[in-house]
Amino acid sequence: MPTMFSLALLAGGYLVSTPLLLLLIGLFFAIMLTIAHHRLRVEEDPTVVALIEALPGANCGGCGLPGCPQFAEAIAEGRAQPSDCVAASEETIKAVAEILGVEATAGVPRRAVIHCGAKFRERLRRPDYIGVATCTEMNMVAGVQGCTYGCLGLGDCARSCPFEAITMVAGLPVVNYRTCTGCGQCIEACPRGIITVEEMIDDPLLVIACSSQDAGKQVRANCSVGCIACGVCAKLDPETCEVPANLCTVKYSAERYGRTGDHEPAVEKCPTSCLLLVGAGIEDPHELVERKTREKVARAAARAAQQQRIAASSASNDAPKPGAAVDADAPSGKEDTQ
Amino acid sequence: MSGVTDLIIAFLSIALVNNLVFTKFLGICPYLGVSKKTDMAVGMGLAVTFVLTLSAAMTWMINNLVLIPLDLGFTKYIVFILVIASMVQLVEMYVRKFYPGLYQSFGIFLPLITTNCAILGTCLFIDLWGYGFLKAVVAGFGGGLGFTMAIALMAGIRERLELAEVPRPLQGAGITLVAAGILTLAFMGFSGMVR
Repeated sequence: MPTMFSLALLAGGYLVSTPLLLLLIGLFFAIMLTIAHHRLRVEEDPTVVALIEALPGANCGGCGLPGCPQFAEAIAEGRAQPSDCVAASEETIKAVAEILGVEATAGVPRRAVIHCGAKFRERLRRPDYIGVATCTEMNMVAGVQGCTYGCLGLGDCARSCPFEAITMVAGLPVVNYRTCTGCGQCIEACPRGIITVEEMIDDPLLVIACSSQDAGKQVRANCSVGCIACGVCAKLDPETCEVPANLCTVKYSAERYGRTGDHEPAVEKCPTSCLLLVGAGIEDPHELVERKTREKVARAAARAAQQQRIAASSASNDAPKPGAAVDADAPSGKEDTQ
Repeated sequence: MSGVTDLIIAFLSIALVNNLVFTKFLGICPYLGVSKKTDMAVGMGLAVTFVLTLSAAMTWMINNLVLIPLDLGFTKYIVFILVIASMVQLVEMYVRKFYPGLYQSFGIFLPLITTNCAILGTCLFIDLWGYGFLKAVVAGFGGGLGFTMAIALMAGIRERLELAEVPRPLQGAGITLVAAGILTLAFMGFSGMVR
């Protein structure tokens, strides 16, 4: 070798020896790498490669594995089901099933549910908080909010969501059920633990929008839309609602849940409007609270008008019983008087 | 000075006093890029340590056994890059084949650091300082550990910064660079202790 280089140096100096050296070193490593590539090849399962291509690639961890490649390996080995991927759309699951050559089973979608229904104006006894604007920090300060269970409203969950499915509306997270995948990142983010992931056995789904374990009186002092454990829901909807202690619990079991319409009475009659229906078709579940207030006002106005009419008609006929007109609904009141 | 003391001083010199990140400003890209989470940062640091130790040994041999005898020392810049890149590829394949667990934990960083300036820089410094083989390997290892310490410290600071209320114009890269600057100033305290 050195003699060859000496000859090259004599013939053409560095102009020849330099490229020659680089060429030799390059060639040496190229041969080494080629041999290594063949000798040390890791057999990659072509199905796994195809599966990684087909999966969403969000690496959200909703399946319980570190990322999509690991999940692909798991389904290829049969350790996981395609439907375990919470971020996959139906087409993705179908594509995955096709690669595997199996029939896709439709899993029940899992979605985030927020167990607090109070916007800023409904949260009482809430002094000004001047500090780091994250729920985690705020939660460390004693007495920042009357309700020690409810949402703090600084949006840690919204920031944690990899799918941008949570928006903060007047201090309350609202889940967009069209984009939510139920990956559960928000559960980790919430310092108060008011978020759970539930199986959407129906859409819309009945949800208790309160987490307070306080007694009714205490809840009323802290919040205008908290669960006071009055038990109306358990009476109207005994199959799904239970009030074991100070908080209503919704039992999500496919056999007992029933159909959507079954829960309307309980939702309507909940005195603090903390039973909500949430789902893809509902823009803002808290709208119901406002609608109920509006309806209450309208009903009162209608009743007042009715009474006036009755009073006007009774002036010409017999005098009506005053108690009946106030208590009963408008049509029955009319029958009574005639 | 006995051999062992010499090695210890070489180690401390490159790990603390002449830290790659804080005094040589090498390897800033991973230092700022992969320092968001401590576990990721430590993984990256260990991968750098591993590659740097191997590269230091490899490039010392190439330099002293091939380039200098042939009077082609000036090609070391190109040759070192070539050697480091090929060797890291080789090591990556080997680790992937025989140590899948190890590959999962830091193998993903290996391709990222083949062209890292901290690696090439250290190899060139070792040549410049005229270290012997053993000293070169120790210096490579020390440089890697120094880098690991720097990136782990930075990651710890950045995890705390997540909770802090940062003024709007300084958010993101701004406060990160400020923190990096203050950290560098702190390490300036070591300067001049050892050459």
